[in-house]
Amino acid sequence: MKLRSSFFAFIALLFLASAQAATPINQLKPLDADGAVSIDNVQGRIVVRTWARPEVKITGSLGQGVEKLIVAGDRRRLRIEVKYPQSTGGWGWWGSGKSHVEPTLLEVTLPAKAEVNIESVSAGVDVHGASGRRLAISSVSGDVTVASAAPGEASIETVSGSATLQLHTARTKFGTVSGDVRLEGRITGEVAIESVSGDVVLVTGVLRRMEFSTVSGVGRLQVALAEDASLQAESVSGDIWLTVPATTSARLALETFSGDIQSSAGRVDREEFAPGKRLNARLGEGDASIKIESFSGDVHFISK
Amino acid sequence: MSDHQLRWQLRQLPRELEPRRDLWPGIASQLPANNSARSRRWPWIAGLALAASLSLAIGLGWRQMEPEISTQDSLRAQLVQREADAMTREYRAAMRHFSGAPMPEPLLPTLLSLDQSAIDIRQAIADDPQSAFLLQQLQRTYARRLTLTQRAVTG
Repeated sequence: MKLRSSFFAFIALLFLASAQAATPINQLKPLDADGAVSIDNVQGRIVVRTWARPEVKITGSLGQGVEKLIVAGDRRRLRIEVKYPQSTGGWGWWGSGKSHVEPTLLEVTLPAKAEVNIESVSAGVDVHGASGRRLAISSVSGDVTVASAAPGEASIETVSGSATLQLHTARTKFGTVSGDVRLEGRITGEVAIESVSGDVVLVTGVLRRMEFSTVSGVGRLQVALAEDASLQAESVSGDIWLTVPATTSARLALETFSGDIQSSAGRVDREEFAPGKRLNARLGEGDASIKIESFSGDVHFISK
Repeated sequence: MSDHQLRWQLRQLPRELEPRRDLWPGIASQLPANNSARSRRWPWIAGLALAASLSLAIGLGWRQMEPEISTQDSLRAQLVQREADAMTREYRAAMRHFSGAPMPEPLLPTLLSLDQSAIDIRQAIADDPQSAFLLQQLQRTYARRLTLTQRAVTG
């Protein structure tokens, strides 16, 4: 009899364990159409979709070992956070093999005009359609995908995660250490991109201001410039390729210490008794300003 | 860019380096210890000035260059190099606060990449000390390294 009760207790424990392995999430919270949602998940996946309802639906599954899911706030500002037992002790546990926390899948459907702020460590981030005042994403190693989003401004940062971003916005800021990024869509206004070693592909509409900086990453920039625009690109050892429309009106200043300059406009001047090459040219009326400077990276300028 | 403008820009850089205010407590107290390092650096700076003077002399002999321009270049190069050294000292002082803290294994390649980038930029500054933009690159790289280290430690 005792043996049988132990057996049933064991089965019950097994069932409990399997139920805990991936606890389903299903919550619905009210949020104003222009409210703000912050989402924080360390590992797993964060999926954001939009709809026309003044509500936030949270589904997915909570990984085994997660302490709890926090959903707090009001209809102006909602916070969704996956709380981990180790979350107060830094990231020292991450990747150490000592953690028994399973990944969590968070699927969040929110009002299309809501402001969105996402923080991840290794969780992948997938956003489709966010068009609020601001879209901010910070990820360490998780890859970031954004599609059909039209926020007032976008601020996206990764450490080693790659990013594929399709945006319609007038203010874009992107930073990475070693993640590659492809940034395109109807990007206008102001763009600022910083990369350490990640490669950058950028295709934009008409910009008023652009700043690009890399240490060793390659930058392939295809941009159009407003009349009074300012474009500044700097690289230590990464190559920079800049392509502008043939109708561009700008003053062009390219300079490199030990790299090469190749340009479809102007003539390259070489220092006579020291390293260094520079090119100054005027395109059309010379309205906008284009300045590219590198230490050892090559500079390619194409007007077509 | 005039020397006045350059000096002004350089003066702004160390303040911009602060990624998070709480990274820096205690740095000031460690700075006096760096004074000796500063004084040890002087012979090197003096050597740079000497090399710049030699370059000027050679330039004068070869190309009849205007001395004012070369002197300005030399001054600018010294300023940039000195600022890079000061920035590196402050960065190292800040990093000492995190020495021994465990770093997540997946983050190690990125941290190494940042360290290598800082080394490359410092080498580039040594080769081309006229480039103020390299100083900004160094500042940003140190700031990223500090911020990332702090986030890894505090979560």
